[in-house]
Amino acid sequence: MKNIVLIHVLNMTKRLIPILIFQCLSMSILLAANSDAKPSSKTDAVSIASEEVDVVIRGTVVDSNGQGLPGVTVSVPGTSIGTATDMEGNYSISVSEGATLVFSFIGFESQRVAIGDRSVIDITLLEDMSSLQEVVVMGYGTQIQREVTGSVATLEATQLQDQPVGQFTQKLQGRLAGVQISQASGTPGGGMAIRIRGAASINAGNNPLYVVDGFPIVGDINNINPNEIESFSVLKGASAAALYGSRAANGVVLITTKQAKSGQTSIQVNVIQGVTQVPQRGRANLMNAREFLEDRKAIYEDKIRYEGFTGGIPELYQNPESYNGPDTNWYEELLQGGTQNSYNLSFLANKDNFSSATTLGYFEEKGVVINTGFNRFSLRTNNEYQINENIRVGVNLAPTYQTSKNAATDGYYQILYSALITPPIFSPDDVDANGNQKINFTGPGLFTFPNWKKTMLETQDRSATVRLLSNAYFEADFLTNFTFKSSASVDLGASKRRVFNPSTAGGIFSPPPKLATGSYSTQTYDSWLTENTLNYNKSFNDHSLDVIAGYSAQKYSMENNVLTGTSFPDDEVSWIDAAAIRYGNNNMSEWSLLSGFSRINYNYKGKYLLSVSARRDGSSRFGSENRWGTFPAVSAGWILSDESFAMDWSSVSYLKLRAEYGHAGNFNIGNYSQFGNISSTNYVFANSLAQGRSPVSIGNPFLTWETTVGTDVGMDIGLLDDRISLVLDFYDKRTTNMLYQVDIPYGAGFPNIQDNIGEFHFWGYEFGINASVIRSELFTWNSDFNISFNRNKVIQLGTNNTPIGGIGNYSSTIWKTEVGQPIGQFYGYIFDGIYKTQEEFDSQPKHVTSRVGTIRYKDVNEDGIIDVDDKTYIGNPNPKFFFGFNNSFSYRNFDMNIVMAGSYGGKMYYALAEWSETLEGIFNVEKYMANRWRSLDDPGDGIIGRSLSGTTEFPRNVQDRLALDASHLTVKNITIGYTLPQFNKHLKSARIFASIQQALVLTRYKGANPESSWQGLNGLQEGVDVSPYPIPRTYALGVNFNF
Amino acid sequence: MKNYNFKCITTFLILAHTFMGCHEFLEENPETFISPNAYYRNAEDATSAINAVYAILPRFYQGIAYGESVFFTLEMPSDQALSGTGVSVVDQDRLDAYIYDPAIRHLRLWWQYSYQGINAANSVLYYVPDIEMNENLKNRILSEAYYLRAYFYFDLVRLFGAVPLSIEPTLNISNVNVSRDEVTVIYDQIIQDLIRAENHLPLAGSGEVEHGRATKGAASTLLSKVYLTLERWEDASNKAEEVVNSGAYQLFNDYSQAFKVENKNGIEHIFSIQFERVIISSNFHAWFLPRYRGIQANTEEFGAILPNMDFYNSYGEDDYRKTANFYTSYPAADGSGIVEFEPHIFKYFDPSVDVVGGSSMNYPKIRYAETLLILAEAENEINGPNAKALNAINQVRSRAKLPNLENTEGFQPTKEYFRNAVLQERSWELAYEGNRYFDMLRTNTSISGALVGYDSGSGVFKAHNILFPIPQREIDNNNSLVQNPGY
Repeated sequence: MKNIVLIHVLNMTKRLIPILIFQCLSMSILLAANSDAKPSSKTDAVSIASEEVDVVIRGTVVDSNGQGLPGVTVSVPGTSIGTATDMEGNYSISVSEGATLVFSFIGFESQRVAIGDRSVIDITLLEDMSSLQEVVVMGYGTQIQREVTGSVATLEATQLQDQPVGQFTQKLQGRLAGVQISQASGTPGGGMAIRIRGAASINAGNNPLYVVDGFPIVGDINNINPNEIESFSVLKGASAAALYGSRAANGVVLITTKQAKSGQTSIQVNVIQGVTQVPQRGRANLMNAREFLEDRKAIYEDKIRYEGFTGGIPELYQNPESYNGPDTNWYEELLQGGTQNSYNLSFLANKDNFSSATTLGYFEEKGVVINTGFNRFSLRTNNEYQINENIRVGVNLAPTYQTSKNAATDGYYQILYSALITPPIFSPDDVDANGNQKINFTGPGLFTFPNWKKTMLETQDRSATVRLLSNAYFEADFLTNFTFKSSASVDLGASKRRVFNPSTAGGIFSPPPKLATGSYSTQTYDSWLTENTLNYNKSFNDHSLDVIAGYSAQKYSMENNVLTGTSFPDDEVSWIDAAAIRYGNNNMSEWSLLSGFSRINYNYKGKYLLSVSARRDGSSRFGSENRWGTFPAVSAGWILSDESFAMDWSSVSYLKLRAEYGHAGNFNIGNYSQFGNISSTNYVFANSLAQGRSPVSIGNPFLTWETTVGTDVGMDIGLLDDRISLVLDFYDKRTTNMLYQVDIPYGAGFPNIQDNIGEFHFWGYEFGINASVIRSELFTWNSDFNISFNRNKVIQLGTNNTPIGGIGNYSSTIWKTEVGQPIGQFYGYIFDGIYKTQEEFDSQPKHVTSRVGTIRYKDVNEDGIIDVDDKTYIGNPNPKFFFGFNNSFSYRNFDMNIVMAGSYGGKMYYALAEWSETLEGIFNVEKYMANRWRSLDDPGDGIIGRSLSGTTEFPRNVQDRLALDASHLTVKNITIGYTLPQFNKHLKSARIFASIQQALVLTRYKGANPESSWQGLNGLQEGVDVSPYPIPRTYALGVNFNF
Repeated sequence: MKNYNFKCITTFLILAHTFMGCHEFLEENPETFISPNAYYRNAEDATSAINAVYAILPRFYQGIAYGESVFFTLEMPSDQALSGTGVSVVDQDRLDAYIYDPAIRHLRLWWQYSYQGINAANSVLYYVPDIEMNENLKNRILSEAYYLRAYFYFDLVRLFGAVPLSIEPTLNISNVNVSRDEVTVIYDQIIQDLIRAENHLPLAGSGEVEHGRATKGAASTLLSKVYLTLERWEDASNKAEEVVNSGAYQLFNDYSQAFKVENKNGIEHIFSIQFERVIISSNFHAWFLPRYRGIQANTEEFGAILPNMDFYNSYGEDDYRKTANFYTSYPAADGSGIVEFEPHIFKYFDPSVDVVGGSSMNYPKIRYAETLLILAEAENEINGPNAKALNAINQVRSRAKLPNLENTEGFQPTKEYFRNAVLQERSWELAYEGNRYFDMLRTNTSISGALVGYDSGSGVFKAHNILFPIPQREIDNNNSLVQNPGY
């Protein structure tokens, strides 16, 4: 029966792909081997061999806490005699008299002990402080840092735990070479952007793949409680990531959640409470009420003088000096002092074949913008049960519930942008003739402005997300060298968002009163993964081999519902039921991925390292003609410092050269893009809806993933007994087959077709240094610095190399991506002053709207006319380099940690100026606008032109004057802690600390946030500051108790 | 032993689950949209396929960015309108100033929408004949597709000249680089399509006609307009007369009633672009409103299209259409009194517009008044200002509360005089309905004389402006296209 089943399985498999056949063969070996194998005794498994027996030595190996250490290798050097400790750390070994024993265990310093005449030898192993022995989590397994051949950046989460922030990405800022992380906005629970090694794609996104405990997740990452995390591994290099195949091109972030360590039993309590406020630096400096009135008066004076305006100066603006009404700072009105509290309780236990780690967390943030906030309840419990010494089963469960309100504050013309330019002469508390609070304001020549404070307070926008991330596995060791692991993971999510815009709320283009509108949207998704891997691990003579092979299947499906209600009769009932007009949308999408993969890690004498891997992915997203892709990779390392010729390099304790090459893909090409699409386009007949359907796109059955082929050369150096460690990397990668909407003539009836045509070239350098600067009994200082240089160039765009962007006049379309140039540069005019005099005007190139006193841009193409052809590249939002610099100190019981991050050479477009420099007299404006050109005798500061009708649009066009240097150094966090002396026997340790987040931003940039970017870090559209949610400075106090 | 059995079973189950349906597992089954091979199967599909062609029409009148719309292509260059200032109107200003640039978005979108419509019509004509369904319905649907294809090509050929002619749908990208066809070939196709359309389209007012669909009258009037453009006077006159004699249409008594929402799809309307609040709201009214003067709540007031004052002043003081088409004051929406302003276009003012649904106003593409004026013009060209021609023009004039043409001061019973009179009458009657620019092009005239050399105040019309440039994007992506001369 079993054989028939196997044959059946094999037959099915053969139709697929060779690697899966290999898989099945391995599996059949497994099955066959298992069914034939006799149950082996406990001792057989533990003792490896025995020779001339003389003495039996027994004992217990413990760690510094006195907990027994299982799995410690006890061996006699130069022989094949050896054993390992059991679950309690006990061992027993027969050796010849006078032998020496070596106790070694990963992560601990080895000890050599001569047995002398003892028969009981108890050993305490000390943790190895050298990171070289640290175990690095790699895709589908772990590796000792020393033997890693790919480019991987790792970080222990314990270094991060004091930072008072809600998202782990915030904590990673400045920590990892090659990983650019920006806080583009301070939105509670959001606003983070990440980009690994400059990855960019036109249409397939550049977010890395996040893998939580081996499960590549699809949904958000911001609902993962940072306190659940034990470590991060960022797979940057082409071979490191390649085992994740068609999803690895943007890098892979492996997140390992907390497990109880062997022998550990503890209860940890972490509480952080903080207050937040918006720093003063970088706020827009607009006119106050009196300046505003004077400015309006001047505009009317010019209107009368130059345009024959006969209406006279409106009464409101006639006497600024005697004004005594409100003087409102509208930005200030929307801010408040916030709070940020985080509570975490962890139970860790590892005893009696059972290990459990449970973290219960609650994070709450009251935003610094009124009526905004974010909460997260989270639970994670990771449990592993050791059935016998060969078989383990585990279950990880992580439910979270997260809520947020009024998160939609960012973006063009959104409230934090539009409210800024509201004239100060209005107050949110103004009342109308009936004594009711005003809902909008206007005045002569002005826009109509909503009462922003009322809008912010009365708009309801609430989201809630429930998520369950779960994972169960079965792992068995057999035949000494094999481990089989089978796991099933499920990610379930459900979110809802309810929005109600009352009649009193509005935006800049739609001031209230309006009919109230509302929406209610829900989204549910599920993503499941089954995965089976077989691992073979064998060391013989000087060879060491670690082979893994596996396959997995993943499926994701999502359903989306949106209910929209309009024409609510009033603001009393805010649910859709009350709306006079209701409509809904409902849709779904799904994808699936089937993969086989294998990797061989081989090393010879522990110093010649080789890793070869391949993955084969089949995805439902790929066109029927191109369904399967193979992603091979190879990497090699050479530990020079282990060579005999290196023995006398006294200061170099470790030197490894690495090289890697690999293929990775980006499969985010969208679901169903291979199909031509018939879509609904409705029309009206007889005053009622008539459904229409027509082809809106042509299919492409050849559509496939984007491929990134990369090479990396690197060097790891340890100096002075590894007190200083250096990492150097150079990478070069090319992304080809880029998913691109290839424009076709409109004459075909369709604008474009999705195809894989396009190529980017990326290269860069990374450098990291970690030094234990001072290491004494009383005082230690550890310093860590990393710096990354990323460069790129566009090689091909579609069939015609048609540039992307560079067409619009405003900052929302400022970018241009063109062959031969770096990706996503700013494209616009070069500011060249104003035409101050008639002579200047007569003798110089002009735009259609130019007059004496208006703005002048540079006539770049020198044709005597200023027009769109004079636009040119005016800045690159990508920094020349970015860096992180972290220092930690400890003195007696005090500790201090300073985290800094920054960048140099990137440009930021100050988009607020498009409105805060308007000359139409419709908004409040920057103070310096008063220095505009008024007449030939009063030409102003030479920067701001006149307010003449018909000339005022051109000055708002994108120009280099507003593309500002965004170089900055941000002190992200300063924490000072004090560990209390032990005062209670149940309390293992107690520490209190004070922490400042976003302590200081050093920059010449005019705006508040030099990391701002309303489109995130997507490569093609970075670096435009549209006055996003401010990043608060947080002052926090915290305690850590460990029971 | 037990453990191993358990392991085998688990392993097998997971293996089986994964591989059993390998092909199915990776198969995408789009549930929320339809791919073309699963479409065009029955009468319902055929109906929704033709509906989708109509659905292109409103796009020409909807906003494409803050304060702009594609139909400006026909208004800005005409001598009736000026570009309002203050909005981001670079392309609009260029159209107004005869700085025709291949990058102008309005032109690109006109081209795009037209070919989208043409391709959708071609799809109907390609697939529907093979569908088993009621023959009458099938013929009607095919006729509508012929009508709409002709409709799109007629505008294209007049604006851009020799455009690529496609009469089959695009099924793949193997042959999308279609080259330009001779103008005469395109006109032949248009005429052929319209004749086919006439055959099976129902008469307006008959029970089977849903308001908004093409009718025989629409096809015939469009055909007469094509003939008029080609100066095939007899054909034009005959076609127009056919429509007049069909009795299906008449003029509203009151000119202004023709543009009221409550009268849409009325007796005078031969073909209108359909809008209905909430379903497909129209908002072209907003471009005509004085710029943010607060006369209408719940809508943008773009102030983008202003009357050319020469044209405004060309209306006789007695001409009812002047008061119907323009206004200089209106009560403020907030009740604070009367707002006064320079003359603005009142024709498309919709007092019932609301912020949620916009307006339900149709755009009047072909009105019966035009049929009469086509008849008058063509008849005059054949026989001079005879009774038939005078009768036709006078129907339009008398509705405008003007005396008969022959009773006006300075009347001369010459072809020449009448030709000018009917052109002027078209200008007044059909103002801002997308006709004037075509009239200027086909007659090479403007309000101040010849078209070439006409100075609109913002720019001068040059000889090569007689055709728009082919949109740059099209030139860039279709290497078989040659740009029009002068660009």
